[in-house]
Amino acid sequence: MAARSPSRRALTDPGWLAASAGLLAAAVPLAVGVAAGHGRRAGVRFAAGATAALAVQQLFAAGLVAHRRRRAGPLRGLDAVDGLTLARSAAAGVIAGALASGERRRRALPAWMAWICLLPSVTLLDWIDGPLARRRATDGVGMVLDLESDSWVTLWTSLAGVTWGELPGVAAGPAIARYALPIVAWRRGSYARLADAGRSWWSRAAGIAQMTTFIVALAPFAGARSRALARAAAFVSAPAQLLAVGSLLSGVLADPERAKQDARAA
Amino acid sequence: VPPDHDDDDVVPPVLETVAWIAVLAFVLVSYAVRRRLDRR
Repeated sequence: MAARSPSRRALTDPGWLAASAGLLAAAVPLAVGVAAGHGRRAGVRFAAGATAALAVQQLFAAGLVAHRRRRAGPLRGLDAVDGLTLARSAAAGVIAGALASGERRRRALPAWMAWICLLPSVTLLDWIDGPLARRRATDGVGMVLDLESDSWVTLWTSLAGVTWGELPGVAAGPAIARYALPIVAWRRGSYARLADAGRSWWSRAAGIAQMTTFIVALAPFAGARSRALARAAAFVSAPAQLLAVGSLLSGVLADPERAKQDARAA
Repeated sequence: VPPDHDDDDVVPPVLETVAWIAVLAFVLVSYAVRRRLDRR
């Protein structure tokens, strides 16, 4: 019998299947709630948007995990801590569903759901999965899931920010541009370098400033002054985060390990 | 025109302040949990 490919192994990992099923199941009661509050059409669109975002996230992360396995050899399957990391991306699904539902008012039910999922996703869950993961051997799987969950949530949050958070279009630029990083790192085999560079204090500060701007802009209870403050902050946090993404990209392109490999190959 | 321009004053300033204090408390507690996990 032919050996299964790394991509297929990643997608059929029991932990992966359980996490994917759990994320999709969590979207169902929310879609029912949206349907009850805003009509069946909005509920169906919410479910479709959330399902699509979660499916793309799971497939993309599975592809990166499979890529790591090709380079680093067999890696472990997913465990509960990885499930926690993936649960963070549930916020991305809810935000995508809210965008798809067509109910884009800040104080509509989908926007409330999105914001309530977003806050713990980018604070509590983001902060505790790292220390929990370090209690077992750190490896490529956890690193990939952590980075890609962050990016996926940030991407959808930024799109919500410019759609119903009244933020300028530039606020979504860094989150979109950031997707050049895994693609370039993937092609150059420098993904680990990407994770290391992202730990610098200025990169973290730019990320925190960006997410704080989004949280304030999207808060359903935010008044006119808070929203004006978020709009002003976006003109500072977005360029700062763009610089951080550019710096990470140059770091990946100038990865010394990869340069050594290229030199040896030449 | 912003999408919810007409409901700027729906949330009284006092309630908004209370909500932001609750958000800040949640963030601080979350960070304290992280620090506690880091120390173990």
